[in-house]
Amino acid sequence: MREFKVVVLGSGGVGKSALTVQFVSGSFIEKYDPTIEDFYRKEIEVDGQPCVLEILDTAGTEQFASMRDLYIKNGQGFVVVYSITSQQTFHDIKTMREQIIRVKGTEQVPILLVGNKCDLAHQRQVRTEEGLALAEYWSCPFTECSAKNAHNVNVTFAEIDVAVYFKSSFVLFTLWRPPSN
Amino acid sequence: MIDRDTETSLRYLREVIRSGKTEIIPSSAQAVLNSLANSKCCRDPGLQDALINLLKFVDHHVDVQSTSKLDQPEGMRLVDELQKELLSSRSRPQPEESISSYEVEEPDEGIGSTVSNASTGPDPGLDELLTQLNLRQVAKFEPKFPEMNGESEEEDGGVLTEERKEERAEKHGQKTCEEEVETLPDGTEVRRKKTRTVNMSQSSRQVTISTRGGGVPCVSRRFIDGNHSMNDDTDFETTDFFTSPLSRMKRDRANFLNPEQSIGFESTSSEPGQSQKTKTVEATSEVTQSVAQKTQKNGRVLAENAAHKIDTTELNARQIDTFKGKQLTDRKGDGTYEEATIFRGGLPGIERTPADSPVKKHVVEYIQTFDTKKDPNADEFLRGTTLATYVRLNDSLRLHEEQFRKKLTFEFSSSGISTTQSDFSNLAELLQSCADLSRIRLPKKFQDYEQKAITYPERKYIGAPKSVLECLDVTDYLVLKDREAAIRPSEIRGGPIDALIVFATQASGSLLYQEAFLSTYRTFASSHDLLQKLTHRYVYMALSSEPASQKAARLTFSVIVRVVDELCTVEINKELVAIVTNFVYRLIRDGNFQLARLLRTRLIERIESSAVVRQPTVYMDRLKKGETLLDFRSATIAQQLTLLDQRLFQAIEPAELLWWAEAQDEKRCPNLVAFTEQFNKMSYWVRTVVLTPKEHKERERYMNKFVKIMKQLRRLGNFNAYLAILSALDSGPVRRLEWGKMATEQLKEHAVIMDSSGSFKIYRTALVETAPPCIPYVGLVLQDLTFVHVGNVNYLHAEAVKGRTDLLNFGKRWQQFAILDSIRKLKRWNYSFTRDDRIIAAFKCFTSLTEDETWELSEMIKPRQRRNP
Repeated sequence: MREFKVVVLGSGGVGKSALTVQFVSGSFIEKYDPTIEDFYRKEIEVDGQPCVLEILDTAGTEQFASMRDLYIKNGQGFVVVYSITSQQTFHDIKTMREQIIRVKGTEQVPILLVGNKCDLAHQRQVRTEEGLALAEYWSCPFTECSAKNAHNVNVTFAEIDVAVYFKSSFVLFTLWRPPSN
Repeated sequence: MIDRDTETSLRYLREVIRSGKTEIIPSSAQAVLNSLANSKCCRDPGLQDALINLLKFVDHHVDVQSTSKLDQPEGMRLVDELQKELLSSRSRPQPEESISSYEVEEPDEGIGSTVSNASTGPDPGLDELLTQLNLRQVAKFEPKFPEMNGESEEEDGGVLTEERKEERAEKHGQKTCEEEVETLPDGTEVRRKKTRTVNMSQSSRQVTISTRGGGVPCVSRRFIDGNHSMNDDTDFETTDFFTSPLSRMKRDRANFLNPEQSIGFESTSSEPGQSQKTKTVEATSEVTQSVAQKTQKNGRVLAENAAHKIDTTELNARQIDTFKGKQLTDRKGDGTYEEATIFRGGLPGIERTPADSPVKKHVVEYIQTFDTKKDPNADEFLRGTTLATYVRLNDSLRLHEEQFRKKLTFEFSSSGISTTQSDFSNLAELLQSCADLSRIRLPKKFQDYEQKAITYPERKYIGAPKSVLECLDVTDYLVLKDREAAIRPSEIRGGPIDALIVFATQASGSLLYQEAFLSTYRTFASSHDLLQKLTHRYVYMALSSEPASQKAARLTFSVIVRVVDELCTVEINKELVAIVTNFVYRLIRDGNFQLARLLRTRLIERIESSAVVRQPTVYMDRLKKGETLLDFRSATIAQQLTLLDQRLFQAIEPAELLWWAEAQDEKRCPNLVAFTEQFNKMSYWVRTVVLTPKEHKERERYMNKFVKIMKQLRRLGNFNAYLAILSALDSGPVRRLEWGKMATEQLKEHAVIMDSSGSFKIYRTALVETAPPCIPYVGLVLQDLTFVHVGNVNYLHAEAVKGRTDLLNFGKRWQQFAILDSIRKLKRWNYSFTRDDRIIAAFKCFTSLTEDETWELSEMIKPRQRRNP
């Protein structure tokens, strides 16, 4: 089976881990053990073929900045996340594409830019246009989404959307080929 | 009259106040409280007031941040006041003895107090306890050794021979001594003494040799031999051997009965017609089990494995019965019970010599925190309470030692307080889960509960939130997995916060639950709130004279001590200190000087020890001129790096890890931040050292040096520094340059460890297989805790619990506990290297370039190839 490694990047506190949990399990449950082997694996279908996505989300370890190169080295696709409620987190990721390219030694890396926490519109600090502009500069897809954390039990439409969106983006990743010239 | 201790401590305190040494005032005042703790006049309200006033004055300076100026005249006045009260209190009549059970019991007290135990059966004391203890069954030890894989024997037709050797030995000894003192109507006293000693020892040896392959059907041969010093064990069976050794012992007790009587006459002051019977029991047992397995193929040894397990128990107990005529009027008893289990890879003398075990040291340490060494009366408060648990579980039996240790101090009396029965069954469970050599996380119970339906015992309606804190038993409020939960409380699934707090103070709660609670309560209650609730419970319980309430108060108190003992620096603020000190005043007011003293000592020690660990001073001048890293052996460099890491690792409080996973608040996690900073510093320093030399050859030498150091770090089990260096050598700016074949290949091998597949399976396995001491990669711990936090709901889903929304999901806490506990265990180990200032100087304080600067250097050495558009 084809395997594809996706690395989730972004500052601490942007809700990366909630996105990952959403994507891998679909919802929040009462018992969730991240140390088990296939916690970060998700099978999806691409072109009618089963394909495994292995998500590397190092949420919680952002302080171990020196480890980032190792993680990036492992990845084939990247999801770069910021929080729309924090200008700082948006600022933090502005150089992320450059970092990825530097480490991978190629400009040909699939990236997905995500503005998280759009359910908190009243606290918005980063406008949608800013996200769009950055995505255009990076020539990569962009979405705003919300993955409510486990403390909010209600599953909203936005949450379902994020999983669907992620999935389709990951499908894009796996099909991604460097633009011929 | 004032005794000498008190006088000295008062004089000292005066001197301290006069000299204005604010920082040592709290501990000097503590000395006064210490000296008064055993005072007979602790019921004197005047004295209590004077003492409280003095402590209040002093406690103003307890807070670390406090800058208030010392009011010296006021301090002196308060000391004078106290002295005056002390002088006068002896002459005053003492108020009625209150019902508090903390009083040190006088030996002649309690006669004729209760006859209540007539209903509880003829002998509910020591004999019952013995029966309970004797129930402990040592499970058959069956370690699983790794399977031989790779070559399958059918393929090459080889003959595979497996030899399994099992040896078991058990020794039990029990010495019972009964002494009876009867006072005859004429005032003379009759003493009778009976001593009974039972000794039993058994051993067995079993060898199984199985041969497979080579076209021959599987053959198994078994040899058994053994001996035992009991003479009637004709129905001796190997399989049944460890399940009921003590029932056999009882049967044979008569054979070893060795009564010895001595009668003497002495005149005493005892009441005529009264007799007292003192029974002391010393019982020890030791069960040693060794299993060795050898796999041979065509005579060639493929694998040789061995492991052994030693279970020991030791009981020392005493019971005093007082009779009037034939009627039992009073029964009192106390004692200690200790259990320990040691696992060790390798048979004794074969593989590893048991090095100086760090475990012993910690046992001593823990007991010291309860002051028992200094003051024999101190454990008075903790009677009926588990003093401490020593759970040392390590993940791989094959490679290192594991150890459990548990000590109980107990008391019982005719007023009904008995030892905590459920602790024993829990311990057995703990041991069971340990004997099961799979990777240990927590009891299976909460790992597979998803499949089983949760049953909900009737939960009473919780009215005023405080009322739960005032319940003797809160089991009914809790969500348990099944009805047996009272016996196996590790199956607590959730409940309202207050009930979870109270359950941690209940004797029926398991030690494991208590540990899990104490490790994780910060995720649902602040230490401040917890202490407030616990002190409330204590005060409420202490008000009643009911033995059950008194016991609850006592248990609550020991939890308070634990909480205070494990407070983090960032938690100690004015409000929290006020809760504890106010509680101390309350204890003094109740005449419980002993408890007040114990708690205040813990608080002050905690405040004084709470400082963030700093990097040690570096003596640059130790380094000879021109000396560099390359001049030192890789192994010694690795040792020094490890020493530096160890200090920072041990300083991390488990609570910091929890807080980090929740909010990444740097202020609350100073030690964790210091640790990660050091990790990054080391990584950037390595990059700098490797990239700075102008000559390619020189860079290559440093590269090779660090690869060697990494190898040594791996050997030492220092995954932290190992990964810091790996992350440097495998970082973008370093990796893109050309390196020698050796370095490149070795680096590639090392880099595999951080392969993220299967949730870092390779790294996790490597960590498990590493014998402690070791320092883990804390990043993964934080990642796991983060996902446990985000992925699990804080409260149980309302639809699953009949619409209730206040039931905390304790399953989440069990998971957090499992992760924290593995760190706690690793924190206890020490590397035994000595510091070498010369090498540390060679680290140049890890000064380094920034990430961008290293990139610049790297691109200067080898320009970046831009793809032509």
